[in-house]
Amino acid sequence: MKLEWKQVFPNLAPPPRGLEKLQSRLDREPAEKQRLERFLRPARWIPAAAATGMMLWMAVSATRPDNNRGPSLLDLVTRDVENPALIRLGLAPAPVETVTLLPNETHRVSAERVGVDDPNVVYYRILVLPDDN
Amino acid sequence: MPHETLTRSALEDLYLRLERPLFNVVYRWVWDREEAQELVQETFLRLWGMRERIRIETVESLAYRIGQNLAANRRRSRKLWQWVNLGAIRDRSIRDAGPDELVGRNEVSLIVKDAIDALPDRLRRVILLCEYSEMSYQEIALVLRVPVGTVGSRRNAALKRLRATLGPLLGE
Repeated sequence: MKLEWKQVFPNLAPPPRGLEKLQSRLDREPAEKQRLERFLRPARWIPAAAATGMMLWMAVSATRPDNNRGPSLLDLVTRDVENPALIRLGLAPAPVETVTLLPNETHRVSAERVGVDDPNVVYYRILVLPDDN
Repeated sequence: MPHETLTRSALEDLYLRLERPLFNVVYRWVWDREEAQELVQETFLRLWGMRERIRIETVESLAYRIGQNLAANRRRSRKLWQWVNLGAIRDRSIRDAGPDELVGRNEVSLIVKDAIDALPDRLRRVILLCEYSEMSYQEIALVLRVPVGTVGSRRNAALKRLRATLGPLLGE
């Protein structure tokens, strides 16, 4: 069997009615495009709605007290500091401890550390708080 | 500078002129007549879609570029599909073989098909355009975005490979 070069690349005729098919597809295209645009139109709202939702969420979460939120800078500064000045200014909570005043008798008290010059002396001002009961 | 926009009648004229050569080029990628025609039409739909942005003087080379790219992509996706579902494809090819495929099953056609299929994509693009498009090396270089010299060297490389495969049949 001998092969001629023109058999390697024969010039085939395409299937018939190619132009008619193309014209039909070109005519269909605008209608399909309009349908697609109608379908996709709601999609334009999605980014705007998402952005609005995100802003609302951020606004609400910023005003809502959040127990999981970390300590503020002021909290960090005043934490574990029994500075009387801060306590007086209301910037630090007065330490509340249970102190035995009398045998077999306890009260809730407020203990405020008072600064003194002598480092060997620790001086507290004790306030007995009324019982919640 | 404003350029001439592709009109509907110009597109149809172009289709009449390029349908056959582009069909032959695309067919050697997908080896299915209906699929090749569909890809040719898809090429012209793409051209129509971008008619505002293309220049009339380059539309022919653009058509060949789009056509070959679409065909190469189709061939690649089909190969992937065959890889994942080889059994189903094999069954389909036996059960649903159309007349074109049956014609293609004669011995010569199969040997030629295998020889062209074995060409690397870059050589196949050149040899098909050289054989069917009636474009010059310069125009083919424009389509493929390669230097003119590369068109010639790739064509020679493709012919060399085909002769190596088909040589005994060609009597060379």
